[in-house]
Amino acid sequence: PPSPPNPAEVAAAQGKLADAATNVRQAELQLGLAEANLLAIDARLAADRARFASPTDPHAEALALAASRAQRQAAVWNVEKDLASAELDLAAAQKAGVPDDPATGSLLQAKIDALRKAKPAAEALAQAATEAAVKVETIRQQLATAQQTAKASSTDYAPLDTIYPMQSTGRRLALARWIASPANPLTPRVAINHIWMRHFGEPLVGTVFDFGLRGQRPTHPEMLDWLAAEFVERGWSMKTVHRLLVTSQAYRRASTPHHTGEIDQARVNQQLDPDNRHLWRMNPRRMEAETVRDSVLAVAGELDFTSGGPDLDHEQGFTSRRRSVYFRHASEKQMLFLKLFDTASVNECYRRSESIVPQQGLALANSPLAIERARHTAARLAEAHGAGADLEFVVGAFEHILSRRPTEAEQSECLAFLAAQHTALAANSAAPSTDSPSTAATPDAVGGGAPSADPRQRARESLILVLLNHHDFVTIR
Amino acid sequence: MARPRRNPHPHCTGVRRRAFLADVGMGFTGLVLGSMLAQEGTFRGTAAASDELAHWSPPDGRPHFAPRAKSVIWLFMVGGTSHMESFDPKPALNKYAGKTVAETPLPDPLQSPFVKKNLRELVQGLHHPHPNLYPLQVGYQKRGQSGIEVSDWWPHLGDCVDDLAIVRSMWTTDNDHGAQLQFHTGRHVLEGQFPTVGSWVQYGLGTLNDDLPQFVVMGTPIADCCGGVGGHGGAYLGPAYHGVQMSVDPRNPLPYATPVGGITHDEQAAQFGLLNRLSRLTAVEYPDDAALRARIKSYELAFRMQTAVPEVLAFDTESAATQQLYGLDQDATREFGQQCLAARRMVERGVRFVQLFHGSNGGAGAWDAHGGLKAGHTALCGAVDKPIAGLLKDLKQRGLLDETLVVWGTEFGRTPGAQNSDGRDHHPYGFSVWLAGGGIKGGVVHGATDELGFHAVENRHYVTDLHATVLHQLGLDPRRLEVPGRKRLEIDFGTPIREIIA
Repeated sequence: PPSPPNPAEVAAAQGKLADAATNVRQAELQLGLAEANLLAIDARLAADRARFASPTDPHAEALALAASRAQRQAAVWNVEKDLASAELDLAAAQKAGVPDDPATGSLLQAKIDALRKAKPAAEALAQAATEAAVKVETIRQQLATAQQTAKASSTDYAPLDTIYPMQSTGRRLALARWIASPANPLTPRVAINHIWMRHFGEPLVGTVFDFGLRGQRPTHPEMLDWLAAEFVERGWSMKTVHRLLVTSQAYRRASTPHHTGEIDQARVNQQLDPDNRHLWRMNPRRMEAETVRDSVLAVAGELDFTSGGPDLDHEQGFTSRRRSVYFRHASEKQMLFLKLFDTASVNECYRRSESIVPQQGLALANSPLAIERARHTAARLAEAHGAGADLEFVVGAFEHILSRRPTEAEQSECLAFLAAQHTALAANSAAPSTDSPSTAATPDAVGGGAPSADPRQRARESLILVLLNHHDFVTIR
Repeated sequence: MARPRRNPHPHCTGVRRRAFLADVGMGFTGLVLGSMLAQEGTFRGTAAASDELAHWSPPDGRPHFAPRAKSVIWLFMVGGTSHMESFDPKPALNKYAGKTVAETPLPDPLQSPFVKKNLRELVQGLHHPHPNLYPLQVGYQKRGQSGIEVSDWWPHLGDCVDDLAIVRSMWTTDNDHGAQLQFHTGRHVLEGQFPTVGSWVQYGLGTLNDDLPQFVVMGTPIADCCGGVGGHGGAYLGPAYHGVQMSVDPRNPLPYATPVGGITHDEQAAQFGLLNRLSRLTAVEYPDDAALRARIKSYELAFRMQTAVPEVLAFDTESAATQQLYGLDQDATREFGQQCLAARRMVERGVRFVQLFHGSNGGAGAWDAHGGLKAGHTALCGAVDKPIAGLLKDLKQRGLLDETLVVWGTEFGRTPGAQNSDGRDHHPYGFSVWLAGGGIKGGVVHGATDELGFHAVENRHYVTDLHATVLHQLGLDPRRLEVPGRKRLEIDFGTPIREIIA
């Protein structure tokens, strides 16, 4: 027969059972609360929809009643849950004050001493127990009130969001109309200034963000006004403005002054108007950051022209083929490559700077983006121009990347380079025991792929990388 | 009108440009090429000024007379540090605290001719007079052997007061934050962009170190509202003379510092070599392209910076004592401390001009204490005081202070009158800067403001006098750096402050 259970074990088991029952009760309350909250939110949503429906929903009042009731039910559940928690705390506080082991005679003195020392702590616990009891009482009263209120009927419930008037004041509309009014000279002039700046490289008003007292005066005020008037008269069509600007004589001027002829007119112009205020020539410009990245991809034939979609993680700048404009752009979340090329400020969108710094050179010479794309481009060009002479490859590379043929001098430099590199690389691969620092591959090679095994092709890859770093690649002349 | 000359460079030997380049090949530095091509590109001016062109030659990189300093470290506090609570004690503000200006012996400071003649407000009437005097928010003590008073917000810098020349009588014309740009160019922000003092230094002097930029910028530059990147720009000198921004992060000293994908060092050297040759050929085709010349130079630098920059920012090679001196071990001082330490290492390696910005915050600047002056300045001084003192001490103990000119400045001071009950407004009429090293006297005070700290009254100096002093110590005469067709005004040149030059 089984031995009678140990009283201590029984007590322990009963204690555990009581604890488990408490936990179950807590969980039930929480579940009830969560369900009640859900019902309340649904009811409030339905009531809000009905209240603001147009035409007005006949059930609006009934739904408001239901929402109010549901909200109060949820409040009751909330209070019940708080009450249960408070009761638990109270029990725990009372229990904490009670010592576990029964004292034996020999330990009594030690116990009394310990109790004396523990008196302040015990007093604190007693205080805590009293406070817990008070709290329980308060919440019991709140529960009674809540249950009372729940029985009453009302259409008041907490709306889910700020409630705006049904009728607009009309102020925003008035502002919008003023901004877009033909009688407002500011809007079209600011717009024209921005569009002009992006076509010609220099704005008509230097302070593109300020046409007020602090602003600079326009360089060509009559033209600015005329363009602004045209813009408005032609129905605010930006396409018309674009067409007007890019078909103008000013836009079609070359950016390169030609020092030829009996009178070096370009030299004269340069002395008369060194800052090109009168646009006697076009302003050469550096590509914007996004355009640099996109162009590197486009040259490799790998730019993905898909438009739209959610913003992309800025860390994926080197693995994604999408256009740069789709990447996340916030103050701590900018693609480093774009940042180095003066990407847009996160706070304003007025005018980019066109800096020239060594870090840009490193980005275009060393980054995985540039190196991988250079290799792919070299492969495609090699395919296109067959295994033929280096000269064809060089000419093809210049035309593909720099959109022009190389000059005689450039050709010779490139051919000499290809020959020299071919020899050097072939020699290195023939003697594979290369541990000298000058030929060892750099250790940190994240990305970039591997160079071609064929020394001739590897030399061509270098040439392509050089052309991607050429000033003319990032410059729009 | 004289007929334009076919060959406007009579002092050229007539060697054709292409031949010159082909003959010399890779052998000469970017500076020489730049100067040579600069003869073409920066030749400006009307046809009538051809005499000017005839006698002009670009700077050859050597100082005009014996220099006292080789490099400059320029520390700029963005927003307007309070002068009366830093380096210019004004006990009158405590004496008359709570009273109005009208009740002091200087009842009408805005009626002064200094205001009428000099003030050029960005927006008229934006800054009202502040009549109620605000007492000093910090105390002063006499420091060092010279006994010069330095406020308790600069306790570490007080240790170095015997090396400082404090100028208490600066003035400027803008009472708004365009004064930040003005402090660097000498011209009011409404006049646009002009070359900054750092770009003049770079333009006038040759490089001491081909591996690093000559003009380095650290910290966040001034915001677009107040001059933007023009605050370290070169304007008409061209993009080659803009300061190069560097971020100081020892864990990541230089982005893309090494090529990936198995490219060897030799391969990369060959690539950069070809790029250089092709670029120079293009420069012959486009002799007026300043951007191209700047890019050639920046690639030459880029190649060398791959190793030079990580080396400069390898702070772990510094002793623990040195790192603590700059405050690298404390959160509050770490960022600026790293920048100061980087500055010392850079001038050690021959960088000419290191410009450190502190407090730029995308707007007016952190030092702009319209309110919360005490708490604000306490925290800001807490961040920069120790690093700056550390820099001075470190330069001195390494024997570098004699040839390194350290300049501390801000765009203007702050009003004696209270604003918003616990701040001070912008104040261009009198403010303080200090200089140290580079042949400047130590332990001296120069110039004075009136009793209230309102107007600079003794030995008044416009900001270009500071520029002139810097150039003078470097052995440069700004009049000899003038570019034809870009005439400068008398006030642009300034006058060196002789009294503080040792």
